[in-house]
Amino acid sequence: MVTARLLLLIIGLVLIPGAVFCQDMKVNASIDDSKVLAGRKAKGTITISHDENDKVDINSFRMGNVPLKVDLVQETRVRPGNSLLISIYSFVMDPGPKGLQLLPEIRVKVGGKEALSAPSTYEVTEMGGEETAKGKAFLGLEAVIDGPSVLYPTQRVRFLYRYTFNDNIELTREVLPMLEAPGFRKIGEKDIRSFDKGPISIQEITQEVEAIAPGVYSYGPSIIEGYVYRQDTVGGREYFKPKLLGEAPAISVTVLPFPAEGKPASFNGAVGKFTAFSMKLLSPASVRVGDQLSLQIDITGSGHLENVPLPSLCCQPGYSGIFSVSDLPPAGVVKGSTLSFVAQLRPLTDAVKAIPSLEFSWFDPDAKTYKRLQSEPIPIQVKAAASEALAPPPSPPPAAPQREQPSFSSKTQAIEIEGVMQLSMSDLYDLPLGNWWALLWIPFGTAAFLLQVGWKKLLSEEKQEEKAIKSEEIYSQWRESQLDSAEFYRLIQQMFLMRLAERGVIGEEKLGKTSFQSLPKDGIAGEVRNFLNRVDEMRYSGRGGSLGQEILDEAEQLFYRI
Amino acid sequence: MKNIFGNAYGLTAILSLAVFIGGIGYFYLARYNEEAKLKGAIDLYKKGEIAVSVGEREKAFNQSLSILTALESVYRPEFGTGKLYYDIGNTYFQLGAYPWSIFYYYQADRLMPRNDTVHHNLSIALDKLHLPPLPEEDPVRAALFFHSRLSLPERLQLSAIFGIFLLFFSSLFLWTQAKVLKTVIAFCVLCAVILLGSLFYSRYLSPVEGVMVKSSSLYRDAGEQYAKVTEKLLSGGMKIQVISTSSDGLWIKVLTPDGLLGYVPQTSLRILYP
Repeated sequence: MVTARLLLLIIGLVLIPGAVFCQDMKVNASIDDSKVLAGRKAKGTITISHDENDKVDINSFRMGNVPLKVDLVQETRVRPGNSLLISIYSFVMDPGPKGLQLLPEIRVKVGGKEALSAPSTYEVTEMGGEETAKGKAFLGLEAVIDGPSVLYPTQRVRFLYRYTFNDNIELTREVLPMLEAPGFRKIGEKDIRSFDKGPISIQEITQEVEAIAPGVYSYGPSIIEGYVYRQDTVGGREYFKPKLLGEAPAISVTVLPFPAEGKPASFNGAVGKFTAFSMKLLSPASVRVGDQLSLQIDITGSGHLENVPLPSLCCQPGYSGIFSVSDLPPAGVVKGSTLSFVAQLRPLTDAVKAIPSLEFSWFDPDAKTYKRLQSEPIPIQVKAAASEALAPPPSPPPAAPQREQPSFSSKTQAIEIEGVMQLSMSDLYDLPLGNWWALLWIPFGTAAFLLQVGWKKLLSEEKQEEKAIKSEEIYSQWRESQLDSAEFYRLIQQMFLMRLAERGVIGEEKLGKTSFQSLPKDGIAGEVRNFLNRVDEMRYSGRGGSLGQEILDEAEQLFYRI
Repeated sequence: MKNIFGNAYGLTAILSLAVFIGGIGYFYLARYNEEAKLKGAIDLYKKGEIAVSVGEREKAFNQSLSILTALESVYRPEFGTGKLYYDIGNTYFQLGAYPWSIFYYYQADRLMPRNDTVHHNLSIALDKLHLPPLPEEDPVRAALFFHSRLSLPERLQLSAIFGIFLLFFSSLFLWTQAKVLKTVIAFCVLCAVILLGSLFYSRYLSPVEGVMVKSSSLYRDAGEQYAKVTEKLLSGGMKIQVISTSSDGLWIKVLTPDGLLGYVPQTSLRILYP
């Protein structure tokens, strides 16, 4: 008896800890809602408990034999120091037709070993057709501009959507173009506020925007759609027809450009209402050329002060060329109703006596006019730069009247430069032939000259051809003339001489003035001379009658050889 | 066939002439009347000159300036008479924007190099900013008077005129073979070649220059994160040589009159043209 009890104790001491430390894998899979809407994807969760050394192969999930795509939701330790992990995965699937459906076993490889989940059931339902218990459900949508619908650039306004409904509604579609507000700059995130007014529930979604560029901007129409639903005790939802629709018509906002009339030169985009503008020197007033001056510029007013730009120091009278201003504009700091900038300036010359008055101008959208404020000038003393101070002082520059920086109402000083030149329309255009296109004379002129050269060459060739025709004519006449006649002998000489002149063998000036006896003795002219000599011999020796076809052929060959 | 070929030459010459004349006619007929704007700008300037208070004066000059700069942006007469640039320079001067006035005076000087009024006003503007005065003309510049005393558009005009004369006299010589024309042709060729040489230099060899319209530091490279070449600022109104621009076009590499090489922001410099 004692031995049996001792044996049981030993077995228990071995097995129980072993059971505790030998932790099996477990896989549990289920659909999140016990009731799923037909036609909509069903969401499910897979929970795997396993040892941390056994890794889950995320690509090995299978539902039946079909691969299943899952996403890791969370991995958590059962308790600190314990090697047991709980890994949670989510998946979606087609639920199937209406009725009770089976979620088959899901296989997964964990640490190289395959694990299975147990099958489970879920129900697929269709939309319900009942009306709600509270009465007929409705869904309404309003699109509202909370502020003026006509703005100027940098003005702000709020775009608001208001949902009104009297039941639990799940939205399936929301088209709310005003919240994206293309053409405007969004300020901050959307603000959502929900509240009840009696039996009606209201949700307001607001987006603050800022106008950027002039134009007419239209948004809409805006649409929301959804279904009424009921939630059961386990959190599942049952949906009811019909689909509810809330629609708001298109809404327009106009951003006007700043009017050109009356726009001050100092205006650089400030909009609102301002009451004060001042400057204050933060650094010492006595500096050397090139030293830095810190200037605080304060603008007091109401509205969105953070949008107000600093007046352009570079471009106001008395600053350009006298002070250098940092290329990086200073950032403004808003304290209460005052916007402050701290600008850095460096005087470039020791001739400057004060930081000039600065003008701040803005556009008042209510009065639709521009307004201005001036700051007072700040006296400063600027000495020459340190290296220049060591050298003997140079002779003073030629006297030119020093321009003080006067206020707008003070009297003007004398004009220092010569006056303007009268302008006419011709001063707005380039001089005739006064730009690079004028060089086209080179290619066009060359082409025109070459054309003429070609033309001349063509004309001379035509003339030569006419001359050639002339010798041909004489040849034709000679062929028709009577053999051994005076005409015969005259024409034979003439045709050869003409031919030689046309071919340039003899000068044209020799035609009619010379006989064949004066022809050169060599070359083709020599052959002609010899031939005509033989013809003459035969003529004057009384053997002209014996001139036959041979002579005619020889003459013809010689003629065409020239 | 030969007749048609012969006639084609004459036809081509006549057609070319007709197109040329027609083109010139269209160019002048297509201009629209802006006389009222020009007159208005000059009247406003003169109104500013006689204004009794600073406020009225600055208002008149600003209005004149806006008309003149609008015309400049539309017409851009970079090869024109230069009078528009001179008037803009005067207006900037009256408004105290001396660097801009210096830029426009230099621009006008390029187009009116013989005009003493431009030199005079430019000298005053340079003096306002304590910048070095204009250099005196040296003997080399005096010898190359056709380059220094004629603006680029004038040289282009003259080269075109000599080119047309050259074509005319060459053609005449071609048809008449008159020996006296050889001398005339040689003279036209010489003048055209000299002017073309001057134009070639202006186009390809002369340095590009600009004027600082805003004071700026000179940086070692294209960005404000780089160290400065010198602590001394490049003051507005200073004329400097432009070497190149950065790939994004926002920085310009320049050579100062002191021989310093560095980069300045594109917004602080305006380049002189042509």
